[in-house]
Amino acid sequence: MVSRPYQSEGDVRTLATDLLASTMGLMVYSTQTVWALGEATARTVVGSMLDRIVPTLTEAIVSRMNLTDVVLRNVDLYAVVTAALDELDLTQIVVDRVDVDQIVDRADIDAVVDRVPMLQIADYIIEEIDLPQIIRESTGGIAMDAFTTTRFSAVKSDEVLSKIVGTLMFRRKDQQSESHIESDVPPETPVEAPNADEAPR
Amino acid sequence: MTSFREFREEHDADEGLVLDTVPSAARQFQGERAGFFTRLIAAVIDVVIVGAIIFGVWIAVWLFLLVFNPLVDYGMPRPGYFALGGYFIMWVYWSWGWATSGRSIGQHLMGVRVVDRDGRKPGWKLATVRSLFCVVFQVGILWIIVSPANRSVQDVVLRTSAIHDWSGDFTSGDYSSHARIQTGTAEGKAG
Repeated sequence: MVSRPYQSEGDVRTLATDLLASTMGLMVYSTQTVWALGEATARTVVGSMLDRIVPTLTEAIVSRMNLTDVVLRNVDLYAVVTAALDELDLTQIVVDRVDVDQIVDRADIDAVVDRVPMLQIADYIIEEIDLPQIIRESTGGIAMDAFTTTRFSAVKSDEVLSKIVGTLMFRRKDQQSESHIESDVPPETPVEAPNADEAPR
Repeated sequence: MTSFREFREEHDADEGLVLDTVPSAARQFQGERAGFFTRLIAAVIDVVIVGAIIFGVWIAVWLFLLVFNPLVDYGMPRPGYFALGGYFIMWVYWSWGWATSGRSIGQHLMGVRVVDRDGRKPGWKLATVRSLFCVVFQVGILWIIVSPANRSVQDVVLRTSAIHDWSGDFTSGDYSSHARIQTGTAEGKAG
């Protein structure tokens, strides 16, 4: 509202217009103020009332129904959990938050070891490093090497002989004894074995 | 390099734990019947060993006689005696070798083992009979050349087999697990 100093000069009409206008303005202003005031008061009162009523009411409702059952019946838990897991990087969370060392400290390692096939692992390692070959090379001696070579040569000769005989007697392939030593599989010729360090494995 | 998983699967399918001392290149014919040359070389080694024993015995006897009768020259006995003694010692030697360990020294060196029809070490009876058969009828070994199943005449008659066994195992008498002889089919072919 704008107030102007009263100017005595002017006719009655102007005065009346001014008076009417200012009265109207005052009315509008008052109404707005009262409305706002009322609204604020009502909001506060209703708010505080709701604050008191809703928890009590909710508590009363929830206590009267089995929420778990409702959720289980109506919610697709698998979808919820899957969505949650999709959001989370579970591995990272475990890595960040779990002390694996402590878990290992508490774990019964003996029980784990009991379940590990130790003998098979040992056998596997022996097979992979070819321990028998290492032992043969380190302890066999020349005489044993010579006999291993002789054995391989004899087996080879046997195969050649059986092939020749098979051909001469028109034997079918499946009746001939199959070849064991292929040309691309070199027999372990211990003649070269003395320098075992250079021997290819 | 095989992974442990592959190794395990392979051996679970097999017979489990095997600590194999046989060279890897020889494993493919381990347990199969040995061929002609292998067994011929083994036999030659045995004959040489028995020959050495014969001569050793002769020298011992000669020295023994020399001690008591130094003036008499007995000279060399007739070769027939050597042959006879050789056959006899050969018989005893093979019987003893096959019945105790399934292999003579020559067969041990060549990695051959004699097994009966079930793949087991032959008993004294079978070993003695086979040994006598081998001594009397040496040419029986030649049948190996003709036989597709690598069996000598002795093997065919007595249903024995001489298999490749490069392991140094003397302890157990049962080799049926790694004797890959197919008694049923091979016998049919060999006959």
